[in-house]
Amino acid sequence: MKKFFILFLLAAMLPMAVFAQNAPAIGELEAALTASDANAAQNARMKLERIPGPEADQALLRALDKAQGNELAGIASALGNRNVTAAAEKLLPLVDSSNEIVAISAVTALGKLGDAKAVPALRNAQKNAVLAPHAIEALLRIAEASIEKAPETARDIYGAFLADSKSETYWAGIRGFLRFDTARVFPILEKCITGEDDAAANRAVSLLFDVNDSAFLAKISDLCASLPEARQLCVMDMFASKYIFSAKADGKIVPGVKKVLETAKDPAVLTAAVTALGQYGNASDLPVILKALEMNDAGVQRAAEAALVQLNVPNLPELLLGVLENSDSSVGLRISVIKMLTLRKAGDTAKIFRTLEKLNAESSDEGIRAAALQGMVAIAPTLEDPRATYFQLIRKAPNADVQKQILNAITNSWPTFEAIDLAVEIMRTMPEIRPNAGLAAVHMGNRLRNADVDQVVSVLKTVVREVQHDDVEKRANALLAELNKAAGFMHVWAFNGPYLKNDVKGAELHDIEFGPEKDGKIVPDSVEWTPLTRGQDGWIWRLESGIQTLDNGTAYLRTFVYSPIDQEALFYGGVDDGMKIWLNGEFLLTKYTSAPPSLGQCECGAKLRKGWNEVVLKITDAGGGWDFGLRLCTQKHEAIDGLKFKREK
Amino acid sequence: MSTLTKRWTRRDMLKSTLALAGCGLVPGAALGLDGTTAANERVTMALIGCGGQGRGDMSNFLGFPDFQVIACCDVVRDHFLAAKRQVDGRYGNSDCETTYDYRDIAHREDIDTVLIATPDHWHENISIYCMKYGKDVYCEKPETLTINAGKRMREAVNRFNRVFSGGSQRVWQDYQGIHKLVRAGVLGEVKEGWANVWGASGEFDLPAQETPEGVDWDRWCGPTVWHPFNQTLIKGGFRPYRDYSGGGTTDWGCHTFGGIMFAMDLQDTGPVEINPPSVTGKGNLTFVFANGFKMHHGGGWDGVINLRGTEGDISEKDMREGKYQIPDIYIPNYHGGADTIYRDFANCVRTRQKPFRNIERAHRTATCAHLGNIAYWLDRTIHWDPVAEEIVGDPEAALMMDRAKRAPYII
Repeated sequence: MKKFFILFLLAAMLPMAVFAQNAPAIGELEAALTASDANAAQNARMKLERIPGPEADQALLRALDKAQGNELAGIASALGNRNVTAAAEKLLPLVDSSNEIVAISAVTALGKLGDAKAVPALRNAQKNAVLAPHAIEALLRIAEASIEKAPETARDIYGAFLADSKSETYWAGIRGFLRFDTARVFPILEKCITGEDDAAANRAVSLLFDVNDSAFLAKISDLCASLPEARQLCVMDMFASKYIFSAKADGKIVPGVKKVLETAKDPAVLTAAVTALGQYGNASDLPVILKALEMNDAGVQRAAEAALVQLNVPNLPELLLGVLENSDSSVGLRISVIKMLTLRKAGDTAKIFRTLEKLNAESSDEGIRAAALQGMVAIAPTLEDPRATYFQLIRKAPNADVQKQILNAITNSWPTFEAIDLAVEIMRTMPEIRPNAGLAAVHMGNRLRNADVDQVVSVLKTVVREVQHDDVEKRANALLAELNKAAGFMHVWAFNGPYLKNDVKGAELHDIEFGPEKDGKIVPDSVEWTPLTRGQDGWIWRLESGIQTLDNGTAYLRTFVYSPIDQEALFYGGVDDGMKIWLNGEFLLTKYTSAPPSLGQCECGAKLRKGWNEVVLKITDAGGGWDFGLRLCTQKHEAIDGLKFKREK
Repeated sequence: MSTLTKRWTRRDMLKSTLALAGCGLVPGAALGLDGTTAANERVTMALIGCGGQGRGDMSNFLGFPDFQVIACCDVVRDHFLAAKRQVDGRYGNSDCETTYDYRDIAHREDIDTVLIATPDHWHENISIYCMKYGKDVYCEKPETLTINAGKRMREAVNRFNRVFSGGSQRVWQDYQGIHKLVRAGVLGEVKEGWANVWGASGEFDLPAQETPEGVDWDRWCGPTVWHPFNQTLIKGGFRPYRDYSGGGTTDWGCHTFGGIMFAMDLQDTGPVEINPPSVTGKGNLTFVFANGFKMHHGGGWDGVINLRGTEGDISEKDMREGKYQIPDIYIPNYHGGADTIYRDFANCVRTRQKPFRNIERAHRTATCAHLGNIAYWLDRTIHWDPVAEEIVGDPEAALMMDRAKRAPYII
């Protein structure tokens, strides 16, 4: 897909450059406007229409007298699109043309010009079945253009449309007045919204999107609770659509929204209302949202939770703790509050944990106890000693199923070497969940393989030795085999880049300085480094997964290697397509292969200093894969003991 | 009298039908007595653009008991005949009418809604024409061919008070997990996103072929420049050509840019700066938003959307494969409990609500894609004012916000 993308892009860009440079002169185009070749005439008009300035206007105006048929229609349309006001008088007679397309074009263009003088002709055109919809559109355009400079014209046009309440234009008339004379149409909207006719009510509600008067919106909100629920839903849904509505409504709608929340039964209405409350309410509305959290409908509860977050109440965790501690709070509310408190892990988590611990120990309700336990598991990583906390939780868990759930939670939310130690301890001391603890250690080992592979290998060997479970043993051995393939390779990297240069291919790019490469030197601290967290495939790092897909680009990678002693070593690896190596600022190797990575493509000696050494690579791609793998070993290709790696300085 | 000034004829006719029902002359099913929606309560629809996409979209509406497809239109006879077979097969009759000319559909008073699935260069004209004649519109993505086309379509939706839904089902149905992960804060602060879709379209270069019978070729070309017939075009292969489409950026870009913009709550605005690959130096084009968020076209690592936050990153592919635990949070989406974008439109036609992919959202997403194309085509940075919706300080680029239309296909 990537190659097609680039080709597609090039195909797209080149002809446009030609297109931009070959615009013909206005005179040539004007001459072609009335050419006998209809296609040439159309093409000339289409080009002329897009050339700015009065010269093109005049050329089109002159041609209006000479052209016929489609060409004439096109020129009329162009004059309207270009807002050539001088064309209005010449367009007026064309409204009566026997050629339908010409007449429609003239009507439409007159509307675009917005000239009130055209109103009588357009009203006349309304009587013609073919022209009528176009004439109505033109009249609406003129009205829109007149609101500020000639409101009487707008009033006249919209007023005429209000004459027939059964017509579509009736609603266009109301919408028009909403922009400058709301007193005239607010009563109509209110009457429709509260009336018997559902269709009219829906049309009226839809027009509230065009209302800028927050007092009127508050009035509609206030009477909403007395409307049929289907109508309540439309009004509340609209208030909930903050992204298209927020500039127009304000907190005044809240009392009405709260009334709906008190009286409505339909979960959809309640969902919309509580969402609206989240958009426009404030801290004083918290009790209403808490009440919604208790409602027996999952959708309403989710919306209430979202509203609670949206409200942005100061000290929300404290307030929610108060709800938990209040003996009058219902079971449903307490469970929702526990979820809210622990989802975002905000506030004094130690205090939250203690409250949950108490609930878990003392509540008579099984649901609350379970929710409290889940909450404690969720926030344990934020506490001072997560390992001890988790161990206590597992020991106190009522049964093996809950213990397994806690292990899963640890694996997902706290994958650390401390957690692996805990899993191993559980594996040794709690036989009923030994396989689960072993499996948790394997999963976390996989996630931490790049942080300290030796430690992970040691854990995996322990699991194989002690887990006494075939499947888990098999999984641990599989991961050991995979890590063995990558043993001794460097897997802790941060990257800078990628860098590309227009029309420069990979081989040439490899020798151009970017980012940290300056004047023949490497200056790693002059750029920012991003952790490389994806793209490992055995001993190979696939940078198209790790950084981004590209062709003809390059990037820099950096790691720090700890050596326990001063020693001679060997960089040994492979690359697709180019690699450069610097050690402690000293340039050691450049290699360009244009081939898939294989061991031995890149090889050079390295003097490791005791302590931390900085390694920087440049990996260049010419097309296809963008891969590399590199190992630090002895001159005899054997592993070096005691090496450690880190990304940060 | 125009249909815009009086559209109630079909219902008036149906009122008469109800009167006849009292005399026992109308079958019960037509009135909904068998549990289906009565015919007079069904919303009628016509399909305009009967290729594979259109027929696929239509199958959704054919499954709605409160909708009835009654006509099909295409400039290729084989296409509308295939659609007619599908419709007649669904209803067990031969009533579905066909035409080459969408205006025949717009002029019919007994059609309430249109489903537009033509090539991109026709979307604006047909949408606006049909709205002018009082139809509600479901229009496939990319909804617009140019930025100004989107402005005109938005004007028409508002001017004629129509319900308009664009056609990207993926933004909510497929990507909702991404939205929930982002909005629940799981990724921390999200600063960069990647939309991995194909590139911009280019110039027309297909050889001329003889126009076969049953194809109204001039109408297929419609408002854009006329080119000789080539069968690739009527078989869905029009997107590489700038006259008909913005290419992959506007096609799948309407899904992916739209998805990222929705996830980031940027759906009602647009970028302020668009930098082509020659400027970014990273092989991909970058949209920069006022809040600093960067959306890249191409260059992500996996799936069609990637997002990177301070606390983690996600790929659409991993999300699709169920690799994330999606937070159970509520985000307002489709209306009336709809589970598809088609049902969302259907519900909104009745309630007059603004569908999830309303014209504003559709236009803003498509605008982003068009701005990307302009930056590609001119190969320079474009500055955009998302409030005024104008390109700033570059008259040549600003001219590319619109195109002239060929007569008689003008609006």
